[in-house]
Amino acid sequence: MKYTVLNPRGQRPVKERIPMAPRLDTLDGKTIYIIDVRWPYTENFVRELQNVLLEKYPKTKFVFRDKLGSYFDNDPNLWMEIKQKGNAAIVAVGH
Amino acid sequence: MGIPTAAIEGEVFVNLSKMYADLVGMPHLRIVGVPHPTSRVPAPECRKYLKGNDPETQRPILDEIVESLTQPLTGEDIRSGFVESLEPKAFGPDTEDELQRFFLESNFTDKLPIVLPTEERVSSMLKGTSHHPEEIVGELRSGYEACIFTVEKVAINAVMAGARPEYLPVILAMAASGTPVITTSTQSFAKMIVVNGPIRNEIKMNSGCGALSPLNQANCIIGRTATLLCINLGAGGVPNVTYWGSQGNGLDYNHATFAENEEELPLGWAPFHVQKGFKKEESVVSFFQGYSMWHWKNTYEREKSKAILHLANLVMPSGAFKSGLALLLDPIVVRDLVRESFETKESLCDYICENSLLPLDEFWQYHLVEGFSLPAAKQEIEPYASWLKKSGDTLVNRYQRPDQISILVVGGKTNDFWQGGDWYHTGSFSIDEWR
Repeated sequence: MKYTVLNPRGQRPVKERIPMAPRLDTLDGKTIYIIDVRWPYTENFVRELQNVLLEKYPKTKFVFRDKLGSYFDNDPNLWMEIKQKGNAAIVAVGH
Repeated sequence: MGIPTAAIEGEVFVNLSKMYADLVGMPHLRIVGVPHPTSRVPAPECRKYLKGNDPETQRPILDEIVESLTQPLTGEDIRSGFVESLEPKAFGPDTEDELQRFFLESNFTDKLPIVLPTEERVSSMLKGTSHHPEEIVGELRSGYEACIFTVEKVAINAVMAGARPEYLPVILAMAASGTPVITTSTQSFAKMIVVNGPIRNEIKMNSGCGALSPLNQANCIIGRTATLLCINLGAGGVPNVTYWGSQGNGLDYNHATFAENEEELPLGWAPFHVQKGFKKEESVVSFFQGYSMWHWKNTYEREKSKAILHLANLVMPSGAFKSGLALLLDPIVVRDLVRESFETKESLCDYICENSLLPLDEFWQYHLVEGFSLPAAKQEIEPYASWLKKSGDTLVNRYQRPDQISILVVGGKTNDFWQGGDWYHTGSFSIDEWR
């Protein structure tokens, strides 16, 4: 005997594609924000990221910033500041 | 942000991050993998990580970071527009064995055999509610994307779990709440589901002897359905894809689903839903989130309240991250507590709140305190901002408010056992509106 059965899955959302921002031609002379998203006890890693990048790219300004609040929280003021004063961002570390 | 960005992620979560990036419309977001974990790793070791390779691509991490910011974009990177995924309405016709295999391999199940959701069975299930099959119930996110679903979709999952039509209002209320009982978190959270009000007896839920064991059809199947809702309506529950709990949690098997034993509540002890503002004659489902359950009786303490305090002192303090304590008390235990003059549930919560203390030195060491309460202190949020200025031996309350402690009465009066754990109440929802 054969059966036809109903699909148990819900409807996935429609996704809107967002074009990525144009890339830089070089890091020289640029300001790059390094953002610590505040995953617990990862500050060593993010600070060391800034140190090794500074050693390798001495003509680049790296600005270290903590994101406000916990790793769950949005920080729109910081994003606005980066857009106004920075050329690129490195966001670390997700987990 | 509108500027080039490189995201850095622990190696085991790179694929998860790519899925989230896809969900928000940037499937080609540049994500660099680093050895995991980076938490509590000394600085020299972090430096070694950073000068090494991305564990997945085996390319230098620093090169990948810089390339993320400088490598020109492709046509796919700058694509705009909308992407829609369409689901078929039905599968088959095929044999029962083939459909069982297909559902299993498609991750539509909890890996146990299911009842095949034929149109006829779903139609019978829908007799359990007055709502139209095409009515939108809500959305649920168990994995990384929230799905929208109808009454019929909930009924399909109820059929699969083996539910009876009279359980459907409870199941619809759970679905409409949007509460995922299976979550993506690496922390292996579990949920507990508690039903109050007249529907408990109408559908023959167990609130007495063995209520938390797999020995009652309604308790078992309502809990199982909650899992299927998350898998199919919440797009979750696939290890290393949409589920990341490192060890998982045995309580997920049916989410400790039970009914409160309202009939055995002494005068003054209100049913849980009444404590949350519902009328006694209303039927309500409540959710709790936590990790574990401890059974207690054999302590040296002769007074139940003191023994309960020992358990309360094991729970993570309720800082800026949500946490709490739930106690599941047998009616015999409640009788003993009333003899100790705890004449209401609230009086017991007040006692625990006042007497469960810890020094600040210890408080600040909790992982989730560092992650949530310390940032709150730095934002001048009280009481954490003041606590940060106090000496480490200052005692503070483990539970900041009595309502972070939940008291539930369940059991068959065969022994004065009680259990409890690190559970906090996440919400209570009306069942009656789904009848």
